Formats: sequence, structure tokens, C-alpha cells
Amino acid sequence: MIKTNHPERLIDAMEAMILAADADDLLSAPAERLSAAALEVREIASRSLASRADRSSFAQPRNSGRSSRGPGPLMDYLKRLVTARPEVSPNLAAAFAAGKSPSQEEAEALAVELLKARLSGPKTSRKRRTEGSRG
Amino acid sequence: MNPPNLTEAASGFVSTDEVAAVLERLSAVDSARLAQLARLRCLGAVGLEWRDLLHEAFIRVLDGRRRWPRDVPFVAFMAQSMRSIASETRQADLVEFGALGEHEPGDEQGIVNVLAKTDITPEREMAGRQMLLEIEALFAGDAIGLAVLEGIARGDSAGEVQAQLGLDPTAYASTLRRIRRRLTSYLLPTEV
Repeated sequence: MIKTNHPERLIDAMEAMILAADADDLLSAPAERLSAAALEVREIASRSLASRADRSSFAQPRNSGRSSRGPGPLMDYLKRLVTARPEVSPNLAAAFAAGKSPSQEEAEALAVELLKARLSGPKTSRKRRTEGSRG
Repeated sequence: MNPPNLTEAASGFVSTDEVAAVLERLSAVDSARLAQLARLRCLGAVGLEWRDLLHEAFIRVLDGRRRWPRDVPFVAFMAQSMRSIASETRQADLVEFGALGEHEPGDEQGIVNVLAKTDITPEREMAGRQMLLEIEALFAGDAIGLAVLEGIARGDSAGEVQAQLGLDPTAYASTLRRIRRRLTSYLLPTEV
């Protein structure tokens, strides 16, 4: 059993090993999985390059507020939130888990609720907590 | 492709146009290694998916938010970038989700109350445990390999690890190769 208080260091050590792996190490993996991984990474790179080109041609009108090439920062944030806390929005969590496009209305409603919570919440909670711990 | 920006070239960083050219010509070996590194950084991370992480790392270097030093190999630079993004994501989750959890119960309805009554810590602890379980499963039947990895993670030198585990340099090198090959195979995506 691994005993560590710093599991990230294990990840760092493994990262160093991957970087040190030579072609023989890599080619020891099944060829079809290697080529599939390479293909998928190239597709991600192409998408990133297309996204860059899209931004540089900002003068052109866009069809909608959402890019067809990616979820955007809001949807990415909501995905991470509901993955960590599915109870916040079971429908969105289920959609993300199934790899489906979530309901735009539900996503926007959740975003609005989060914003309302942030704006109406106490701004000095950390200070209060610190003060409360004093004798 | 435009020539490198003079300022970028003079300061020792690769221009964004050069980055784009590198991305257009990614080799199969580098691509596979990038997939492995992205998957590694997502081990035990809540809601962080390797494709999104790699995409974000590509985007940041392409738009100039992260600058690639000329003296660092591209894959190593991307590894640093993904480590940084994964760390940022964890920190952002702590701040954002944790801050929402600090709200007083009852000051809002619905979603706010749900958030106020929950905390990210159990999920985070579970993710950490899950990460260790995955690593243990990866090294099932290879106690020496796991011990070598733990020694390296502690920052022990090669000589120290060898002395602790009673390995000679040949056995140590052989163990390192075994670990690398195990990681190489395990971290390749299985689904396309």
C-alpha cells in the first residue's frame, strides 16, 4: 500500500519517466493504441489551430454566441462543478456523464443561480472564520 | 508562416506562428507521449478530462498566454503547461466551490442551499484515494517497481534507492525500463 501525503509527487515522478522513455519503450505498447492516440492528439491540435484561426478572424460575423468547436469556459466550469457535485444539477451531471450536449436553458439557469449566490453572499466569510477562532 | 516576432526571438521564446507550425507537424511519437502526459495529469482529478486539458494547453501556447522557451523541448514544455493548468483547476475548484460552500444557509433558496450544505473535501479526498488506488493497481505484482517509484517521488537519488532496495545498477536500470513500459502502455487512451 502506498504511504504518502503528497500523491502529486508520484505523478511528477511518473511524468519524468514518460519524458525519459525512448522510442523502444513507446513502441513496446500495442501499435493500434499508439496510432489511435496519435490520431486523437492530432485532431485536438487541429481543433486548437482552427480555434486560433477563428479568433484571428474576429471581424467576421458569427452564427451564434457559442462556438461549435468547444464548450467554452462557462460550460467547462459547469461541467467540472456538476461532476464534482452532481446534486447541484442532476440533469446536467447526467448529460455530461453521458457525453451529451446539456440543455442550454438548464446550463444558463445554473449559471445565473451561481452568480446570484456569489453576489448576495457575505464577502467577509474568511475574516469572520478567523475572528471566530480567537479565544 | 510569418517570421518569428523579433521581440519573442530575442527574448528566447518561440513565436506563436512557430508553435502553430510545430502543432501542424506533430510526430506520432510526440503525439502519443502528449496523450500519455495528459492522461497522467488527469489521474484522480475531479471532472478533468485529458482531451480538454491538452486542448487548453495547446490554446494557451497558441494565443501567447504561455510562452515556450526555445531551450525546452516541446513535449517537456507541454508537460509543464498541463501540470500548471491541472494545478490551477484544482485551486480554482477549491476557491470557487469552497467559497460557495461558505454561504450562510437560508440566505438563498434552491441551489445555494445545496451548495452551502456540501463541501468539496470528500470528493477531493476520494479523488486522491482513487489516484493512489490506480497507481497501486498499475503496479500490482511489481512491488519493486512501486518501491522504486516511491523512492524517486521522495527525491531519493538513484544510489539511495538502490541501497534501500538492495538493487545493483543493472537491476535498477531494468526496473526503470519496466516502469516506463508499464506507464507507456497504461496511459495510452483505450477509447477513441
